[in-house]
Amino acid sequence: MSDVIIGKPSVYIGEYVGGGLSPEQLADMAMERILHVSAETHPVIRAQAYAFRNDIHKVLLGLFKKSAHSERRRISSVLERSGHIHASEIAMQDDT
Amino acid sequence: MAITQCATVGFKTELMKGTHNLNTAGNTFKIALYLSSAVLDETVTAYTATGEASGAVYVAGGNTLAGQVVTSSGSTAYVDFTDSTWAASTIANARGAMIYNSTSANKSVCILDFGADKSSSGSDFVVQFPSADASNAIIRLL
Repeated sequence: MSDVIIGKPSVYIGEYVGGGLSPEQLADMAMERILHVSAETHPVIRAQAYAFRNDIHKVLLGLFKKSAHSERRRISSVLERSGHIHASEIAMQDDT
Repeated sequence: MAITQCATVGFKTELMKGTHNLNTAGNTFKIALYLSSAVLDETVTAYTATGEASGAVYVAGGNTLAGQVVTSSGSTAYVDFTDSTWAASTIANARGAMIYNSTSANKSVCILDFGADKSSSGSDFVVQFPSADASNAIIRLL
């Protein structure tokens, strides 16, 4: 029997006021798109899939954090070279 | 429940009439957010402002969807869109959404249920569509 099926969307709310999504949220979103583990999969295979999923998540999370840090340093550097020393320091505050 | 996730009957009918072109560079589709008080089910024929969410950054009618592409795998055809973001928004209690065809008289496509009220406060509100495959994609024709 044919039918039109509607998939389940996910909603993410940015963790930063005035800002966007955290590296953790972005890694979660990436995994939603990259790897879906069916509930009907054999338990052993499912366990392996989740282990693989966790490994990929860790890699992505680390890279997203590095990317955010790198961009902050770049912005801070631009501000510093423009003579905005205080602003460059603010740009690096709360950097993880 | 006031918001029921489904493909609307109108969409199914209009697919057969060739009303909707979901392919890349086809029709323009939009996504609007709704409160739990909205009554949205398969009988909805077109976009409505009744029960629509509101707040800073959110504009009535919602966001235009980008990146639409139609693909098939095995015996299933499916559609995917780029995730939709209301950046630095303040949106209170959005419980669901409607995708509709703004090229074709705002005719409804489907209703989405978020499962719970979602709110942003000066932050990004992102609707992420599921993995683009035959088992999960946002709109699938089996």
